[in-house]
Amino acid sequence: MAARVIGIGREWSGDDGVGIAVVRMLRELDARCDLVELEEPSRLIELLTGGADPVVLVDAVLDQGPPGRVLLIGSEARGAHSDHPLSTHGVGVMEAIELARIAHPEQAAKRIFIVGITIRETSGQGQGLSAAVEAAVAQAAAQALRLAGS
Amino acid sequence: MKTIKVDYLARVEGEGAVRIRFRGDRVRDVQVRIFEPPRFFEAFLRGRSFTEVPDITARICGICPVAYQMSSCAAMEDALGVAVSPAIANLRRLFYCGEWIESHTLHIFFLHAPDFLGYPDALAMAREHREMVAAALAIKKAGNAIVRAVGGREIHPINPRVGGFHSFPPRSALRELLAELQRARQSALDALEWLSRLNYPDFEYDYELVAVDAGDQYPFIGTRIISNRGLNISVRDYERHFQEHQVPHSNALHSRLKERGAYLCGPLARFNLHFDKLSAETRAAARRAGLEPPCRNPFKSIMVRAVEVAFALEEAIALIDSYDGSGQAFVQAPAAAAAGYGASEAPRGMLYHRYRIDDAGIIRDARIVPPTSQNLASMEADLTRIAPRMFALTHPQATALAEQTVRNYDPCISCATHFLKLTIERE
Repeated sequence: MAARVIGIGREWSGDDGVGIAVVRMLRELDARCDLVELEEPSRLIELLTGGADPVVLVDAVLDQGPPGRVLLIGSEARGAHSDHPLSTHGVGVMEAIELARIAHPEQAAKRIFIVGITIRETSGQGQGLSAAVEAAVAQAAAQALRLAGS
Repeated sequence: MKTIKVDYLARVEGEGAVRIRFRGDRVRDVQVRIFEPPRFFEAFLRGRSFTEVPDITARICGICPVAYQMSSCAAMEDALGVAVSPAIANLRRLFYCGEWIESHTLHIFFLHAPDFLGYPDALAMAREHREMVAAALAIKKAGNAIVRAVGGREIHPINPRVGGFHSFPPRSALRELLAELQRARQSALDALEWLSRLNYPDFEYDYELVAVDAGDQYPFIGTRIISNRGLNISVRDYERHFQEHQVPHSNALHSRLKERGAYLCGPLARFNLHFDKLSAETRAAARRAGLEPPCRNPFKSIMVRAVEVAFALEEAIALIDSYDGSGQAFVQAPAAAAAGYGASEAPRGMLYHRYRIDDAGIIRDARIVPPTSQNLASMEADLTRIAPRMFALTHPQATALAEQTVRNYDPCISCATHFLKLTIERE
């Protein structure tokens, strides 16, 4: 089955757009996998159960430490939670993964990885990443490629 | 004094809390406290072109952007004397069906149903009701697909414009949704039967129910507003009859009928006022579930939402069947100094817009009254009525009942501030 890399974020919200930047770099590198840019996770369940395996999610991770660190987060990581969990407006990333596995145990990708890039805040306005987060895009792209098996 | 506090309301959109204070066994005070900061959209709109209004107002809400787009377009078209074609009006109904399906389904199954079944959240419920949750995800996906096909994307659609749409979607793009919509319709009817087996609190109140009137159609967009107490006005006269006011504990304004005070809008109001406009099949499904007007139990709004999902799917299928994709996708709307008024039925209730533009088409004044603001007074009144039952409950039980009561309204606090924490104080 084809691998899929999904970049999650908003390019107009400062460092929150790092997931999108990673997918765009992979596209420039002509990565041989399905590449998806996702502004918010409402379609995630559909994308996790659509036949692709493995699925690599690339997303910003709010963290008080230095920005720009690249983390591999288990999709069943204890303590990991979405900034915006299940609410009227949608489904958070971790909740979407769990719902996909519960609702569609046969169709859900067996291998789901999360590549997180640490950022300081999600409220940045305007296009463009901070220097520290920009510098992590190549490393995150390489990590995503390795996990996707490309 | 006993105080019940929900310090942060979960499973609603936005940031808010509830505080209930008792003196002895009497309810002293109930406050739905909305601390999400005001968002000042009405101010942002001043100085912008009238053509930008559907794109800017869509950003008020991620789950009901279609409502904002439709109310704003209706208001601008009213200002400019633009009448849209039946083809445009029908595509707007289809667009709105998509939004009702996705919004209602999310609320029914992922936010409200866990309350009735005693689960802390939807994930816990999903582990024991896998098939129902899988069906819900499929229903919601069908709604998303409509919004994407008509609006260009699922969140904050880009195709609507004042006067209609930038382009009509190809007929084939809509027809390929039909099989998915048919399956979703059956799932919605099954879900309604499932919901009818839940236990509902024995609670009724004779609300003044307010909804948009759209003639012989179950309402999405309309030019009149009606109630079960004889209100029957033009949307243009909204501000002569309704008044927003500030309360110290909330960043969201409260709305009231000048003549009679609190009122209720949303699915329960639409269902009671417009039941006869549902199809015979949908009415029969509602009756099988034990629902027919008058329905005064706000907890049964969860079932009413399922009725509306089934209706919206049926309506969407009919609209796609008759869609041919031909004709002008929009009516030109030349700028002129004018004021315009628009109202439509967002999933959670009536959404009113009013604009004043100058002769260059620049917005000079804007007023937006979202449904959650309109329901806040009724929400607090419901909590006051049900609070005496909380006195005998443990704090977790009382908190759960308060949150369930609030979720009857599917509040969207971000919209209302442009909500929850529960505090119960016992003296």
